[in-house]
Amino acid sequence: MVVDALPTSSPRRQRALFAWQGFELSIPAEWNPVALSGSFSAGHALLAELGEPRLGLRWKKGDARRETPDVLERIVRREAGGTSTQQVKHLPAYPGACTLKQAVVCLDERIPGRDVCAAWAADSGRLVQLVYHAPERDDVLVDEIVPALRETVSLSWQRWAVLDLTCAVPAGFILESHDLRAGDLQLKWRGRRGRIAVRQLSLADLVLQRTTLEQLVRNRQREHHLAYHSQQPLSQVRLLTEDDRELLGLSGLALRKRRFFWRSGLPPQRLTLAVHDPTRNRIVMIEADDASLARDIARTVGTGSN
Amino acid sequence: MSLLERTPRPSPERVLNAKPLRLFDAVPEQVAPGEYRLSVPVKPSKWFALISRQPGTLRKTFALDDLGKMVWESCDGRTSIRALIRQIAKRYDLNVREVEVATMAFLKTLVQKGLVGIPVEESE
Repeated sequence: MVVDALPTSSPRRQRALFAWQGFELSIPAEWNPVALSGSFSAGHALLAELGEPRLGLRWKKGDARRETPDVLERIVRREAGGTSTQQVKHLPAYPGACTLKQAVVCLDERIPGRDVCAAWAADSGRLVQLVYHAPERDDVLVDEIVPALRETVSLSWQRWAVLDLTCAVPAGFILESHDLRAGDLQLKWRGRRGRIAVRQLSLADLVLQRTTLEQLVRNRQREHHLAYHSQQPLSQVRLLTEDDRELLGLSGLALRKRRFFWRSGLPPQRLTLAVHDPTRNRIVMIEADDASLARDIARTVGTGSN
Repeated sequence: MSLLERTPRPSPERVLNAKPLRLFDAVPEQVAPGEYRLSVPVKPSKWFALISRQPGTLRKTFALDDLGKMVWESCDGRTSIRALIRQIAKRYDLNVREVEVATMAFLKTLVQKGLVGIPVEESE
């Protein structure tokens, strides 16, 4: 079939954004995360293309005193396994968006090969390791992946992009959990300003055949019914996204029950927002302690994914 | 092959290249917009036939949505799972990984229900 005849890897393919734990990376649209673990300090992401691993990204908090190219060279040699078909290179500082410094790569001459890169992230000081599984001898790691890797920790809003879900949350919110199921993607954060949950359901047409936006909001509010009273009725919401898409939906407010006044961990109110994005055929749900914050986040969902 | 020898699991690559084939030539009937019914004959087990006194064939009905119908119709023995995943992702503007997970889960259900067979080519 024609679809089967597509090349397995081509630098000219459509690109997608992968943004996770303060890193942003433009990758071929068919590379998707199949394993995500860890936190901001240390973690791992594996990107694969229909079952075949393509890129591994690992990060951990570094030691500023050890930020030398020799350390990185040792790291890449150890990761690469040290065979005679490898060559180690010190990459120059990339101009523009790249925020890696002192990058060292170990390129494998074999086909299929395994190229390794280690560098220090300039803003957070984290040690970043990239492992690229090269199906053919190409310079994708050096020419495309390393220059495009960018850290966003210094920005006031941090972008998150995983699978089909892209959104931005204010800096300072830490990812608490992720639940990524086919057609139902959810990320939850917590920070000093409370908690945020973003959920995206697809396809909206299929979802709305079985349920309504009101039911979605009510079901979500029911999860917290022990500590919160849901306010009646739900109010209509109309939002414009950053790229001028119109989102229509409902929002519901839930107030903390008076007997839980002493629970400082429970915010006084919770806003649940469910909006239909007809352009993307998705349903977006936001839950936050602050109504304006929930609306601001909803405006960022689905923007800048490609 | 001895009884104790385990059958090796096919690699993900081989599974994605496999071409599922429906075991019944049934056509889904539309009962509502985006809702279909698929009715297939099933032979009751010996004990069930004895207890229910229905020795002949019974019919079992499955509910499908648009995506389910598309997968069912693509199980023609010519379309590989990889091609099917790409077709769905392109047609509905969905992420390939999400489609892969959902399609594999759905095909597994179809296989468990005895509706579809997936012949995986022998490894070299």
